[in-house]
Amino acid sequence: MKKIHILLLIVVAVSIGVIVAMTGDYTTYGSFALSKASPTQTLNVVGYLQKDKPLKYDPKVDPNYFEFTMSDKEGNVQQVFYKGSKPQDFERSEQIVVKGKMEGASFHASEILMKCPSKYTDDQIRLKEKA
Amino acid sequence: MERFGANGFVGEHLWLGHVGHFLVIFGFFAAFLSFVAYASFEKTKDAVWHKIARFSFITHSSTVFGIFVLLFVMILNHWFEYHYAWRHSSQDLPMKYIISSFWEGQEGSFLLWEFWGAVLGLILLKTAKDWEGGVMTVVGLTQAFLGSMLLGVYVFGYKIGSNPFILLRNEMAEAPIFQRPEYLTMIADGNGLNPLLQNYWMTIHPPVLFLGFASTLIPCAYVFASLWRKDFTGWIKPALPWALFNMAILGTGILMGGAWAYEALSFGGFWAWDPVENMSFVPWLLIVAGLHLHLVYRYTGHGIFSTFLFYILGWLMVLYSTFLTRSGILGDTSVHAFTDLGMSGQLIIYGIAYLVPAVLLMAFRYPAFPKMEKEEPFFSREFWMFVGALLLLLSAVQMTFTTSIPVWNKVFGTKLAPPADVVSHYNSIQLWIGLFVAIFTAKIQFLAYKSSKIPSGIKWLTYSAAIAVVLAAFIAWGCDIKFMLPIAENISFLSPYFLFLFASVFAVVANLSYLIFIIKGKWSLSGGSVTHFGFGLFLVGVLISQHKKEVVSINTRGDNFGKGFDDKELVENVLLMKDSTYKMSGYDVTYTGRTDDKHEQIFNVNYRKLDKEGKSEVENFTLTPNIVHNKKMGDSPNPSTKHYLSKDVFTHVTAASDNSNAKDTTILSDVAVGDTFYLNKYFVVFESINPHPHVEPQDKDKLAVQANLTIKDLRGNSVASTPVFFIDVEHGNETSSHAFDNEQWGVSIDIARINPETKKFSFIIHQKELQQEFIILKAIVFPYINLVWLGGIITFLGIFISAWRRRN
Repeated sequence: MKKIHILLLIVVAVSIGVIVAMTGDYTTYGSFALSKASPTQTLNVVGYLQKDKPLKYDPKVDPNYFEFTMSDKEGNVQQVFYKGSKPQDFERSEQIVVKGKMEGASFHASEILMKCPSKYTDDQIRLKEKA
Repeated sequence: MERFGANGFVGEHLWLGHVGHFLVIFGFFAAFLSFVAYASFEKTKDAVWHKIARFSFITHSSTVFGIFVLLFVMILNHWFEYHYAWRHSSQDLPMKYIISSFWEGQEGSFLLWEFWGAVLGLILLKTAKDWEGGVMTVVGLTQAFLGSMLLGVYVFGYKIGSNPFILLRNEMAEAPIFQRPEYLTMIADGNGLNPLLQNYWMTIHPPVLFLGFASTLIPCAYVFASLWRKDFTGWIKPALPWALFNMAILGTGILMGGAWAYEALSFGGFWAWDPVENMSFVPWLLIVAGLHLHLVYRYTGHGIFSTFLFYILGWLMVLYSTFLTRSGILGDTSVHAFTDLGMSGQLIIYGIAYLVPAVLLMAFRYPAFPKMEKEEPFFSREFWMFVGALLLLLSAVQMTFTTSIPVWNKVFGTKLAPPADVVSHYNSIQLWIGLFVAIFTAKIQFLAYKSSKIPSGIKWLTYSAAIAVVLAAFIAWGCDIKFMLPIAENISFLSPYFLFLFASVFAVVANLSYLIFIIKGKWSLSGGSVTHFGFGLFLVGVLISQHKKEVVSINTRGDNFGKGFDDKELVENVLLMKDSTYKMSGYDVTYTGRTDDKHEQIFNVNYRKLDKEGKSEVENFTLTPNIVHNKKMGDSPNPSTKHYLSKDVFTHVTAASDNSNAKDTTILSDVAVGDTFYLNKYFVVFESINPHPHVEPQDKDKLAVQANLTIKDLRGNSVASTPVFFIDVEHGNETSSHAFDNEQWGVSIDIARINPETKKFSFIIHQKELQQEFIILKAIVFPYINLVWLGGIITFLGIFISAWRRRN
């Protein structure tokens, strides 16, 4: 067996090792109910902003505190807070993904990803005012 | 379904769509014909097939250029009867962004790719000589695949491709305005270009990137041709400049994307390990590995199998990356993936169309591959190039595996999500790979092919290592990079960041010494060393600018960290009231005001730095981050950056006060002349009544009364307010009034009623709630980021030098 083949085997073994070891970094998708059941686990919750509930962001008091209410896909309604500024156009989001864990009665999101399909597919034709 | 017939609508330019659609279909068949003809020519060497093949490919290319021009004409003229123009552009876009709106949509970006494919194909047709048949077979097929992405026809109920010439009234047939023949005059404007893409990098990044994608095919096409023909040596020379060109262009395209992200996006940095970024980087890594193996094979005869493998993988990963970014599958994990246009099935089939022949050809031809009896010597250049290629593969595997999480979920029904901390997930592996790759780029030049003897020049490598240690220590000290980091309790080890810094500096110094002392500045031979030198510089820049980037807008006031805040956590946004100054790591930062216009709000943020004694001014500049308003797409913030040679100061407004609408209304009854009343911030004195008002009544018979009021603030400033009241005595005492607006003071006073008996007035007072203006700011300093750009440019220059040397 040539050196290069031995090396190849080592690289393959290392790759597999790395990939297996790194799967520990992965988080999973889940619901708020699951997050309450396992409060130490970082979860990704996909859901919708409850637009009738107030958004709490008062930059004069604290520019790094943003609180809102969302429901997950199972319908669990949950208070979520995020340490950072309110993302632009948050109210217009169609779907949100929050990554984080429960802290007391609130869900502490360390990351928010919004989906605004309106940005790309808002199919409203704007008409001239005279018409 | 045209309710008024083709001519029933007024002002449409239907010819363009008819010609365009025809060219799309015609061009697709021409490409397919060129594929068949080139394949037959390769098989039979019959000159007739050659003629047909060339003719059909040239015809195909002409159609692609035609479609390109038509789409551009449509967008440039704002012909909003076409869905593509309406969806992606608007009338107020300047020229450079009109170009960007061309490739905002999937159709336009596939067209751009196809355009480059046609250009490269024409060059090959002229220059590939003996290899034209085999290589152009693959190119022709690929052009047919790309062409089919624009077809927009239904075959057995499946939609193939998406046509850019579709009419707005067909795409959105249910909208009521299309009941009217003159509907075009009623459309106010197009949907416009996503504000994030309104950046000059978006004008040039996509064309370069797609040229990179298109050129990734060429080395792979040579591989297919070689496998098919069983000629395993003839392809080596002609394919080499293509591989180098591909590597330089794709690399430049990716780096330009980084420049765009750095300048226009607000996440602060040129690389975020976003899936879309990763998946453009993976093919590049594979091409780089493939190119090095290509060289090994050329000079030693070793490694034909792996050269083939890496070039094929590079192209397959371009397709896989296209699938990931365009199928909508990344929707939950990436910020900048395209939305699904229903073409994912097509993309999978095309991937298989390359994968299956590749596997079969490699398997059947494997026994015929030239085999080397002798093993690569341990101290030979080729041995370490193999090791380096394997490391690049490892890097590509990790990135692909994690980026593909949504795919694993689809295939295996799992519910995996990206790592909690994406950056450290990648960095913890990629840093070590980068470190070793940097060391290899330093030493590889000093080793010789096919020889286990260590060349005499190696002494320069030793000196370089010594210099690099000193230099790296000096840089680390200057930039405050820790030498040691604890790895366990009471045990410290050399910090990986310091090791990485050393490795990159080593690459810089070693390649510089190779340039000076070994090849003695001969430019024609310098390609490799210049490339590696630039790459080393790039890595130094990456390490310093990213590892030592500093968020300077840390909220140190600590007035309220809110519940759930950990004191240790960084709070990276700062509130700046207008005209108040905030200290941020040596800078006095002042928000001095803003300019509002129709499309954007521009904020003026002044930075001032004094020298250590606090006397003379060292720096003084004003940054103008803005927030672009777009009714359809919402607001989007654009950062603003001050560039210095040694650092960048990056500023981004995350939110701003909005005092456009807040109004407060008060009604005051029974106010007599001489009375004083109080508003929130002012007091108002009702001075007198004037029967000769400054506004004439429209009707001579009307009675007019003017109230003279004075508004005063607490500092003693005052301003007059003179609302007028009209009474139409002739017509039953109808009344009207003329309010007095005082824009600057935010006060408007109107007379509601005058009691004729008591002569007392009732006033309606509107006060704008004068909020104090503020912005929420995030500011980051990136030290030595220019090394990233400079290193990148030198790397690609070096590759071009190599390609130039091997152009024949």
